Amino acid sequence: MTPDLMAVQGVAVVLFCLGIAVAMTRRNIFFILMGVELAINAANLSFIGFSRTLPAAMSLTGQVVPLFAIAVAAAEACVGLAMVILIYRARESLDSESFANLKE
Amino acid sequence: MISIIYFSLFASIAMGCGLYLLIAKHPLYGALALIGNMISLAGIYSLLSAPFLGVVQILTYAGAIMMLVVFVIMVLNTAHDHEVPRFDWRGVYLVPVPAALALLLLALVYFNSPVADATALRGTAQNISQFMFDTSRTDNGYWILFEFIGLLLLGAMVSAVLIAKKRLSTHKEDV
Amino acid sequence: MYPIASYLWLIPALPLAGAILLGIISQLYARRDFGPSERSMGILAVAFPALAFAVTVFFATRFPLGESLRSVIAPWIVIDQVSVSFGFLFDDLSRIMLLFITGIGALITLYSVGYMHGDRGFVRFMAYMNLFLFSMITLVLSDNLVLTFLGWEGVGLCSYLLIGFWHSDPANGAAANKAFLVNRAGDLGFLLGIFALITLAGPSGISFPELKAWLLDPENSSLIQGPGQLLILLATFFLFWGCTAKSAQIPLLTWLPDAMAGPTPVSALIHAATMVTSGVYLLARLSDLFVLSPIVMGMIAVIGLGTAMWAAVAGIFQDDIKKVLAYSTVSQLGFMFLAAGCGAFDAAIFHVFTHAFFKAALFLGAGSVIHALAGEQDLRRMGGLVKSLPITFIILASGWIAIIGIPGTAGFWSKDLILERVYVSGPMGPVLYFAALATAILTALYMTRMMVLAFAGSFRGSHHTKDHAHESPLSMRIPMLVLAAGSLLAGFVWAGLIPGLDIFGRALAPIVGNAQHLFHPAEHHGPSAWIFAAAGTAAAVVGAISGWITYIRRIPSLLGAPGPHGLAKRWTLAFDSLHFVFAILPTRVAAWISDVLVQRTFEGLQILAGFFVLDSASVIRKLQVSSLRLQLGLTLGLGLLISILILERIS
Repeated sequence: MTPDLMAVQGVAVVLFCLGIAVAMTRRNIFFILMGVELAINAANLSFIGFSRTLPAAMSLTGQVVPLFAIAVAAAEACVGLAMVILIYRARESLDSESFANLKE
Repeated sequence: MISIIYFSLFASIAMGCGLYLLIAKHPLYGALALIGNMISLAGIYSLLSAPFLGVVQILTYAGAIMMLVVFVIMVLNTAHDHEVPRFDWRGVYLVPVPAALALLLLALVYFNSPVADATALRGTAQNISQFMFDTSRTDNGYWILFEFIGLLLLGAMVSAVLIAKKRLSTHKEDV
Repeated sequence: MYPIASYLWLIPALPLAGAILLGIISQLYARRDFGPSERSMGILAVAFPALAFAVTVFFATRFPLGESLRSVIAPWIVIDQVSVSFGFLFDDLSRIMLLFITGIGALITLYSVGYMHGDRGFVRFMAYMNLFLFSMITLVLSDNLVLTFLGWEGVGLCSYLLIGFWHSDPANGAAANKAFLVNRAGDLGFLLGIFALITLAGPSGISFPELKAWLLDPENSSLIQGPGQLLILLATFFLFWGCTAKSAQIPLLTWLPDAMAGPTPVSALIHAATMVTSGVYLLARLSDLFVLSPIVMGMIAVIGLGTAMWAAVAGIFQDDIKKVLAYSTVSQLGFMFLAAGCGAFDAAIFHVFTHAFFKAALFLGAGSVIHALAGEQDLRRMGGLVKSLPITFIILASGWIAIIGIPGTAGFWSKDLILERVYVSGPMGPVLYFAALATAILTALYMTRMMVLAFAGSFRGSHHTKDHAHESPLSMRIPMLVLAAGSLLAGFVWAGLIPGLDIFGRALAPIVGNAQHLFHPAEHHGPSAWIFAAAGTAAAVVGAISGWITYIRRIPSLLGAPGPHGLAKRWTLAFDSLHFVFAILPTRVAAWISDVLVQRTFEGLQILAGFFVLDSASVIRKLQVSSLRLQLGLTLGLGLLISILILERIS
């Protein structure tokens, strides 16, 4: 007996929006990173929820994609944190507003 | 029945932790909330017959990645953290975007409500590895993608080392 | 099997413990201004080799000749093709080798306590000496080729560490590198030899007793005589190639003269008495294999003779007292290989044994001279030292009469035996014999030259060094005297003049006798032994007298750089030039190609790709807004828009 797939998708949507909201409203650079992580997790949950709707061996496709997503997230966190360290050294601050120089 | 109870427990923990991440004061608290969220998500994965992913979630996500995040937070932990305002109220103008996204997605899911297929396989380590690497069962498998992910991780590691390396010769003004 | 055999590991373990202990102590004092007390460290450094010698003597005297002990400590590499274990084999060959390795090793460690007095690296030096003894004991005590190879590499490492011991001088470091690299070239041969043996004999190709049994097994004779011939040829050739590097034979001999950059006790222990003879040991240990390949045996004999002659001539040209002894070592090793190549493995091992005594005595005596003259090694600046250094003179003189082969001394017995065996070895025997006899004359010539230049005439160095000249301390004199006595008396263990003492030949019979019998099925009868003895003595006397007459009057010119000039220099460095043309130059060309052509090309491609990315990024950057989160929101909005459009199209 698996949980209601509709409810799973609902939880995934809520978590995704929370993650996006964290990433967009918080000023601390760590919260932006963690908000993105939360959104990725929500997407993974959605994948796994949908994987239950596919027949037989096809259903595992929905579980392999999150597996790769986790690996990519690891790479992302690795590079992202390295950049945080680099920027922190230059600006002595964790405020994302002080990094607002993407353009120049 | 018991799975429904577990699911509601895990789901409420996950959403609670996500909410706390939004309002947390210190990044360390936020990171701990995120770890709680991931562990409960791992529980949900297991309930959805994906035990292997649940384990990977705990090992890799909650274990390795979040450990790295916590480590860096503690390394860069300075008194300045409290001076940074928690929210940027200009961001409120952007909230309609995720809200619209949420509405769209929920509507989509509601009108094409997912139906569970009884023949769906359980995602054990054996099934998943066969699915990924046994080319006699699946057409192409995921060999190439797997190798690329490995290369990506290697590249990420090398670039992280290069980025975070202290350049002794450059001055602060030059960066 | 005696249960006591399971304690064989004590022999290598004792010097290893010493090496570890002294290494830790030397590290503890590495950052301090003062070292630990030399007296206590010296006692510690000598105690471990001395204990190993005591254990060896215990084992050696407890079991009768012909008895062999084998003890397997633990399995090491266990795979389908081959299984290797940490096993020790204590038979008569390793008994002889171990006795003089640990004995002379302990004596030379004692000597170096005096020689290295006041050196900042005293403890480090002692740690290296102990580590060397451990490796050397492993080499001769192991019961299989792979563990022998481990010891083989270990002695090479210690040789490298000790040649470069005074590493503040770049020349010493270069000499150490040279020794290490040339030895690696030989190790390649050793490894290929092991692989060839495994291919030939399978799992029984690794352990010495099993290999011997396999070779003697009648079931395998058809394989050995037939399709296995090529593999046997390859295995013996490759193993001999390994031996040429370790034992400084043509063509891999250039490292040994350069190795004299190390402290003199090192030259005595490693580069004269023990390590360089391990090639001869390996030939004797695998004698059953080598006799199956007459081509390689002939090659060994010819290369040994060639090395002996070339090095003897080169020895005449040297001005550095240690270089003379180095070329003399190369020459004597050539004699050993000549004997082994003629099938006289027992004579070769006997010469290893006697040579260890007299060459160690000669080197330690030379070290005593250098010590007395405050580091002066140039023979041209010596002379007349017999008055100021009488004890050193006695020691060097006993080594001298031993190496040139004056009757009764150790060198006489072993060299005479080799010459006699060479003569009767086959149709080519007399030719080899007369060439070897000529080399013996040359040996007497250059050794006499060294003695005359150092001790006869009047002193040619500065007055300061003359006043400084003094006899060595007691810790140096005792080992030298023991070794000098050994170089006079060690020959009697074969001579048969004293009944019951001629144990050497009988001890080696079970190990190499079968091989020698295979190699000479019919007993050749040459002239009487007295004629050989007379010829050998005549060679020694002729060489010594002509050396005396030539060099007693000629006062060497002090002008110019030390070392040979002109043709003599070209002769001395002949093999260095060959190495340069055949090994170093091609390597440099390959390095140039890979650096300039390959590396630079790829670098250019990388720089090109980098420029492309930077240029395109500067265009794309114009499209962005400055705030991070605004950028994120806009991206999401665009994603939302696109997904709505797509969904509209689908539905």
